[in-house]
Amino acid sequence: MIVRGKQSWWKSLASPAMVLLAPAVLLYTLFFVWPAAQAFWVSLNKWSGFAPKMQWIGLANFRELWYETKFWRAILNNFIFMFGGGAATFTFALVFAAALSNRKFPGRRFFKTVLFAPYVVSVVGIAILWTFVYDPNWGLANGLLSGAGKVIVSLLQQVGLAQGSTGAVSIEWLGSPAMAIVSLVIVMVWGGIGFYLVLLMAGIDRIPDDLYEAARIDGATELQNFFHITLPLLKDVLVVAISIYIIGSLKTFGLIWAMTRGGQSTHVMGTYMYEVAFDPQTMTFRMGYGTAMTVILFFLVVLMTFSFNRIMRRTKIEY
Amino acid sequence: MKGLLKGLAVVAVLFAVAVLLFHEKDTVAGRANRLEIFYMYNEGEPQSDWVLDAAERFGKLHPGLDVEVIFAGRDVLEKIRPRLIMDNPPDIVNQGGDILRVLMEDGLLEPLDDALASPAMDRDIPWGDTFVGHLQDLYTFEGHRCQIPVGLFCNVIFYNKDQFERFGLEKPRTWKEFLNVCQVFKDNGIEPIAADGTERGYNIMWISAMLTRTAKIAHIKETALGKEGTSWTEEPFVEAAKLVGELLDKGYIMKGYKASKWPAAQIRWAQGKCGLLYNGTWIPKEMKEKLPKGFRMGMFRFPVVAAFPDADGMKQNIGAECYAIPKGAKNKARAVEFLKFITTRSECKQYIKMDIAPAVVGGGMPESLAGLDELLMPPYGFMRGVAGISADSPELQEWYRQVARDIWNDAFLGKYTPDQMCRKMDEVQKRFHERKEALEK
Repeated sequence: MIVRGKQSWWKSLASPAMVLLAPAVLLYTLFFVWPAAQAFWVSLNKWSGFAPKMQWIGLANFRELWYETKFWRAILNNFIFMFGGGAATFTFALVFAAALSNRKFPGRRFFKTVLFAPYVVSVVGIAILWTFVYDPNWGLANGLLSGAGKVIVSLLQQVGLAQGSTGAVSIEWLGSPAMAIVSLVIVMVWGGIGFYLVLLMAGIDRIPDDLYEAARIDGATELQNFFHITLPLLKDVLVVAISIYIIGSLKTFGLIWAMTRGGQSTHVMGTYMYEVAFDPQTMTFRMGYGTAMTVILFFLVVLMTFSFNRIMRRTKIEY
Repeated sequence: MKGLLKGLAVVAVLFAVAVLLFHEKDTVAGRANRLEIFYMYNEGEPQSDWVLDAAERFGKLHPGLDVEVIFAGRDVLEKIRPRLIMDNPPDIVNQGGDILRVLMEDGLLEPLDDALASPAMDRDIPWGDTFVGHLQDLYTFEGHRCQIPVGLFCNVIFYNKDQFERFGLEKPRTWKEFLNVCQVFKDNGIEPIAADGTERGYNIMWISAMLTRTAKIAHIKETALGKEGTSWTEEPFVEAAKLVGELLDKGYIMKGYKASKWPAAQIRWAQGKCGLLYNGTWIPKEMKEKLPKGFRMGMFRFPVVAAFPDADGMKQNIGAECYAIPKGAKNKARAVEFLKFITTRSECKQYIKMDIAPAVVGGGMPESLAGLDELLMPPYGFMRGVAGISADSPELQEWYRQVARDIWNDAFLGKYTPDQMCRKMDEVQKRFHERKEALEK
């Protein structure tokens, strides 16, 4: 048996590991812990962000937020993006990952590149691109739907199930709150699939082929293999990927700001906070109030990520 | 281990020495010959060339003076934020007058009353008297004038002169005449009004302008502040909503406008597919490269409503690009001189070349904005902010953000009928004031 002597705390502080860690800890404290603590302090004050002095108001900013329906709407939108966007992103990413992990899949590398490409484009670039796609008068989305509609109607006409002609489809993609949210989710999914696809494919590649071969010998179908081997053994990767997604979707800002600036009730916490604290168009410059939102966002991210990890890590699967 | 500790100590000492050695000595003496301007435009924009030239011309008048222009972009206040907090402000900052208001309210701007009472640089009258109308009053805080307006922007309705001539149309002055113009366009297969419905600010301009055509601004303000006995369901407000609703009901606004994203509607208007564009006087500059060759642009003010003669229909919504000197600026005297210099008539000529209306009397007017000077003279008056009130105080700005903005926007997008809009205003506003009272307690 090895008995370790009790080390005094200052000796452990002076251990090589601690000394090597010190610069990083110092920088982390200086550039993350300290500003974060300051943010908590700012959230308890009334402050435009310009004057050297703040006015202490305690929890008034948080109380005001509690009553503000627009803030709750922004949180709801965050959850819509998180659950709605997440379900679509991971469904597509999983299906594509499973398909593209099959080495016999034709054009595997090409599809991988195509699906990953949107992730390389800057979020503002994506926003501009999709703004064109969604234009109600000359956008690609309505154009494609009109074209598809015409093809369908002409096919129906040939079999005598339709008469007359179809007019052009005119969906106002960003024209109402519900449509705008759906449109943003579509863009979010389109832009995000590539990243999660790569993560999941890396996870699938780690699964030993023997398992699939054994299952095939036992007569399992590809679908059974996916649900009984791939999915369970991908759990660790999925936990990481979904955690990243949760954090990303709660922090989301760029795409929404670039596409709608929070109009049509599409604000999320990030955009709403920016609007209240910084936006020269809104001109309210309420730094204390905006920071209170950031504090809530911080706790929400911690809570969601922590809860998700707790739930997912209850069972451990090994091979 | 000891060696490692020693090494780290040496690095720390070297770092401290470097900081001390290379720290910029930003003292009063060090900046006596330097004028630092934080400018709201970016390099490459037409204004950037002008400001650099102006700085050079001013520099020649003051040999040895180094005029430094920092192109900070529209987020200029964010760029100077740390400087203000550290009490080391630049000499001059420029932004929209309503935006600079926040610095005024925080007491961070130098009052310029004495300077404005002193003679102008190019004429023998007080500098303050060289500005258009009572523009200075719009940027007064607690009796002090802290901002110098240089460029002016108004909201007006733009049209294509060739189209008007082709259809025998005259500039409409009343709402009835305006509707007639819209109908003529519609009858001739042209969508009457171009609108990018995803631009909330542009949507709100319609309701905001119409409210001032049916009600007095003081009345709008009292109603917004929840004065007892006031309600958004009063006749002038309902009527304003109905008149704007009429445009929607009659199909005068372009197809798909609700989802149209800037600048799609402006382009449609430039292409002649739409007849009218309600926007700001920055349009000639903004659309310069996009207008077809030979496009003749005209403009008229938002029509008045004959049935409401007592309303503030003669008030013109106005905004100005302003300059201010932050308190604690190291070179205040030179900063004042620079502001006097850029508001001389000769500098205004340079400004006009950029299709911007100068805020100075006798400063001239760009050809593209011909006729705007009439709107800046009596009998027309000025108002700023949304419906003439939003920029009045932080409280009204917050009221606008939390109560009016989304409802007016949604009303223009057809989400509410006029009656619904007014009831919704009352309902949301009541909650807003109750919440405020509860928080104050």
